[in-house]
Amino acid sequence: MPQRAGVPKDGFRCVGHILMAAVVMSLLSGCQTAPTQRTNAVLTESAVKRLFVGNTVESYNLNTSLTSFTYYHPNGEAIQERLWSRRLGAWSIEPDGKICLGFGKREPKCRHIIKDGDRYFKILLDEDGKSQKIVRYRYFAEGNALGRN
Amino acid sequence: MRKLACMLGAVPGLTRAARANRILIDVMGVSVKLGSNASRTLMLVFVFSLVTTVSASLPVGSIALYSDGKVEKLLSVEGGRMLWEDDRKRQYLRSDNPVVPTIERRDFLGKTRYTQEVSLGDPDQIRKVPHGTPVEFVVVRQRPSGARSTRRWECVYHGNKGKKVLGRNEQVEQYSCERFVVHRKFWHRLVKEEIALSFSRKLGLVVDMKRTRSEKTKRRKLVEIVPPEKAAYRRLSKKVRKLRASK
Repeated sequence: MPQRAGVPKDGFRCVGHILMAAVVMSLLSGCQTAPTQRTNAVLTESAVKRLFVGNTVESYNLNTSLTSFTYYHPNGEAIQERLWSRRLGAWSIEPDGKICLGFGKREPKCRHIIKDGDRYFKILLDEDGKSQKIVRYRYFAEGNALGRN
Repeated sequence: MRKLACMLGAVPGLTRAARANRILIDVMGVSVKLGSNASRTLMLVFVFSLVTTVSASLPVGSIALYSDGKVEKLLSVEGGRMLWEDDRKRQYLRSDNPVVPTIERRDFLGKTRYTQEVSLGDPDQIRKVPHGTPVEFVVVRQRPSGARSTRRWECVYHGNKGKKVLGRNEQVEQYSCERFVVHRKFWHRLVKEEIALSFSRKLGLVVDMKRTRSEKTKRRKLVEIVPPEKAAYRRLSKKVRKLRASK
């Protein structure tokens, strides 16, 4: 008899545990979904200007694993240093927020910049319209830091 | 120091001064006899500059490539200290004693910057005590904010060993170091970091290093030295990309 009487009690306890587990899981899942809510927002023209114009930017090319430093002079000139070699080029920003950068005789390439979490990336859109991160920006420093060297 | 003696002998002014036989200076085993006060001063300056440059035979502008993809350029050599810069333009001032941690680190755009100095003990004793004798020292790291932290090291010199460096058999100095903290209650050592390294006195460089920190072990070997005249971007980037792709 006590055993039978005990069954519903245990049953309630079980339900309680399940409910508790469900609450904890929903809370945890809430935590887990937080990073996926990152927007990967494509930056607007003004946001790109704020980040690049008049600043020295450290970038890391995800394909070549090389780091470069580029100063985006407000007059449209770009000075870049990679592996202690410098080159001169030109930059511009398009109304849709794409930043165009070209060196020497090569045609400038225009790409969107996105923000993923607290990091900025340059992206390339493939044939399917999928974006591929090609450059990660590490630092944005005010002024021409390369001129100091 | 035979090299230094040869270099001194090769300078005609100095051999004439040596013939004057007035004053004898002994610099690291090389005896030179000098004449007047002026030539003595000149000689001292010259010998001192030779001693500092002889300690590192790499020319300024040389680029060192390591197996882990790290690439560093030698910016200057002064008083046995070498200033290196990596491809992220982070600068490291290093002592010619390989067990002394980086004397100064300065980031280019980032904010990391600190100086380190030995506050207790003498790491330079490591070559003077018998091989295998541990040498303990404390290093204080200071940041521009004024924040200070201390690191305790114990290092051992295990003597020289023949090793293949950049394809040639060379004598390298073998060291091992432990960074530790002392347990607050029980006073035993808690090892935070272990390093085993081979140092080439000829190059003034660590040519092989195994570092264990937080249960992760990393190894870095010197793969190539690119002389300044061959450090053009195209050639260098090809080498660096190849190294980093194989990681």
